[in-house]
Amino acid sequence: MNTLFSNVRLWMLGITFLFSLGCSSQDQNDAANAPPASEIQQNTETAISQTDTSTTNTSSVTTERQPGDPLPTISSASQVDDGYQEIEWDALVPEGYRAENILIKYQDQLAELDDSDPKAMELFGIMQAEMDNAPVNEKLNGKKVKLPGFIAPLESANGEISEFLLVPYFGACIHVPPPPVNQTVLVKTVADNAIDVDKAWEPYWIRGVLTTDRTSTDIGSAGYSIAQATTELY
Amino acid sequence: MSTVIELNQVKFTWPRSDKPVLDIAELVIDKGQHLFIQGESGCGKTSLLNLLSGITEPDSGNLRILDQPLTALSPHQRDRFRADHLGVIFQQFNLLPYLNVIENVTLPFYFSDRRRHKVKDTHDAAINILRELEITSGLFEKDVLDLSVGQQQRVAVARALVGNPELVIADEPTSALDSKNRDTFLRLLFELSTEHDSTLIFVSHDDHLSSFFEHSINLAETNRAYQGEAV
Amino acid sequence: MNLIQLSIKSAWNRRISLGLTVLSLAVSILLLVGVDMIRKEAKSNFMNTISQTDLIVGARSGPINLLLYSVFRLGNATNNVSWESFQELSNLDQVAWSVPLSLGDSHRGFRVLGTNQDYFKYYKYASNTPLQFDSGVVFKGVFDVVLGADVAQKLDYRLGQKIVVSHGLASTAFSDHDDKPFTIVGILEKTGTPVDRTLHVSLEGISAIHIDWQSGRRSAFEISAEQALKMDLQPREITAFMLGLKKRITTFRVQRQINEYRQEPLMAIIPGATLTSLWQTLNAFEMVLLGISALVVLAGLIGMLTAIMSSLNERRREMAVMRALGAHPYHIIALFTLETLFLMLMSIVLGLILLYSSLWALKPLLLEWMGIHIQIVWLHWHQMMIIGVITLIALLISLIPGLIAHKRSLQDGLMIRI
Repeated sequence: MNTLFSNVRLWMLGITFLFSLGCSSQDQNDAANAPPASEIQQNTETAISQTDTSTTNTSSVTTERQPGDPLPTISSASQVDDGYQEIEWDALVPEGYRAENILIKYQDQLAELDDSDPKAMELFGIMQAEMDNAPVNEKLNGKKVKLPGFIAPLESANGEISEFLLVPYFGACIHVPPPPVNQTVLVKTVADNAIDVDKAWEPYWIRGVLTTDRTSTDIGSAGYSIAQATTELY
Repeated sequence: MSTVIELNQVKFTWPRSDKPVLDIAELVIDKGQHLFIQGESGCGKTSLLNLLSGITEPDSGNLRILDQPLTALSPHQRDRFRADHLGVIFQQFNLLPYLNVIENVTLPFYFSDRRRHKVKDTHDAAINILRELEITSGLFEKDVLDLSVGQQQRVAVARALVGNPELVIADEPTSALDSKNRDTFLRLLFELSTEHDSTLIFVSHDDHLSSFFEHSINLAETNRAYQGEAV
Repeated sequence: MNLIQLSIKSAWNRRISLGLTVLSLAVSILLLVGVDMIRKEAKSNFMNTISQTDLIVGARSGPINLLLYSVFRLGNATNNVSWESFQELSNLDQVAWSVPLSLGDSHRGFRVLGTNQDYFKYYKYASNTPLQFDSGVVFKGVFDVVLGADVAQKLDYRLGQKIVVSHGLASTAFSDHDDKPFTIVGILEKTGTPVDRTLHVSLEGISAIHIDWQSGRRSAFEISAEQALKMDLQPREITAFMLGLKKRITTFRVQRQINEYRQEPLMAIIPGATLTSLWQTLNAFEMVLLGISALVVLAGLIGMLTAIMSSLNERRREMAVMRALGAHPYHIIALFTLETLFLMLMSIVLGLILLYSSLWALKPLLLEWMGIHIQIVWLHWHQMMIIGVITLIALLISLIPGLIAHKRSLQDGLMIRI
């Protein structure tokens, strides 16, 4: 009896492990074969599609989400919500570094090249790097904002997710290329408003004071954070 | 008003049959009367009692009790009427087995405010009437199952009369009693009905009992629907 | 005397059969609420397994595999990580600390973890709680071992004892490194995580015991413990490693860097995110358990309905008497509903008493058998809602006998059937 019970939880984990073994070979293939170029292309497209706020993605409110899925569009409530200004992810990118501006910058060069031309790949690489290394938007430091997004859990307290990274699209920690640093927010929630593990993959509204990390000189590690955030299902 | 019950051209049919089981041209019962209704089973006795107590409605005709046309009342109102003005005594199993004697006797006060307001204290009223019915005080808190049948029937009388309802209907109340208990029962029943100013309607198949009563009718004769067959 | 007192007295009169109903309902409530409570505790425990580690890196396979073997000590790595890669990636700009992990050995059914002293500094669980020593110290020498709380307790080990480690995971002695015993220098306090079931040794210790093992088999040349100490014990490979970053916001960037590392096929997982995924899979099992408990409650309710329905016949006279006294139809129906309400209340109270007594009794046992800490707390509003819904269903069910009794009382009228 003792050995049986002592192993029940281990068995459950073990059975899960067996199932995931089946998935792992699939994972290995994906990880090994994802070509860099198409990643860049996808990322550019995602960035661009973020600027068309209205029409394109009429996603259904089902729970079948694919990595890379953007937020489902809902009719927006008021722009200002008890002191918290609703902002879009694009606002986190300083003006000059926005995708459309970068695209405009390189437009002429792109127009001359074929998609399959290796020079085009190089150009995409340069554009991607510029976006990746974009700094944070200092104008937003200290502002009370309201931002919707998906979460990548980091820490939990009492079985709920109390610290996470907020990103604009679903599945940022799966094989989809992750967002650049200025499209990520490190969020710590207030004690009674943490996120239920069972609903971790849903989109959420996050409200709080946005701070930009000024102490670091390395552009690659400056970032946004919100301490004491409140969360609400989207 | 000097009449308590008036029936006029009353007909009643069971829901699933086509022939009326009760057809009475006229029946008048005066206030304060002790009326014996002799009826075999099957001659419409049950239907008559159901009509008089307002449990069922006649198909046609007039039925007035205490000057109130019962047909004008909704079932809900008839229930209230019954609670306020009527006391019923059955042949047996009158009492709720999970209540003691006093609790059984005071039960009508829950259903009728009118009767409750007629007495100063419900508990005392119950005790008084039980004493009058020769139920000793030692039995008051007892479980009804600890009482003999004779005692149970007398407690039933107490319950029927508490709060002074105008009308008491007794359906074969002595059929389960031996002759000694029966005599005691009848004596007390008459005494108390008179004392509480109630009209008594006593129904039984046993025509020997009719000698105890001033007034009696034979339902088989009064009921035109009776075919002379035992049911 | 009012309707409530009437129902209670009437029910008391039938207390034997109703008592059994109450008992069966109480047990079913105990089951349903108990399962939900333990599930919530298990979730909390589960998510508490590791804290403040930003990335875990291992050979490229599946994220859940990596989590399972590196944190839960379940399953095996498909491949190893070279020491060079470990060094290079630990020296990335964004990395604050790194801790190597080497798995693959065992001792009498418990896994052995090879690591360094930093493990005890950086491994945190349950919202930043560090590992504490119940007795002893961290390992220093090559052949020192630190035990998790469960290992020491189950195998009845004390400080200073010498133990032998096996190669691989079998607990029988075919592949013992019995010429190189380890000395217990420290025992950790209970954490409620897989740490409790682990033996911790230094990486050098792992190398030392494998020195005469080439390709998995003992070689003909035996090398003694003293000789081993003189050799180069720097590991060539490790199974996985933990990383802490200077800035958590750079997590994705570093993760991608590691995933695209050209020297070796590696993958980096974010423990919080992978734990959440794993939980959702385990959740499926727990939902099945909840489903079964719900069915048990349904059975209990049907049992109650049966008990009340079978009493309908004997209560026919009771109803006739009520009607004769002037009871309205709603009185008749209310008697059944009130009785059901009364039964439900008793079942709930009894069920909760049974539940909390069981939890008190089971608390130490669950800790020992499954490593789950249960905090005995009052009901969550969610569980109160479950109880509320069950009561509501019971009251609705009570309308069935109520309406039947009412209909019969209309048919019976003043004539009581004997």
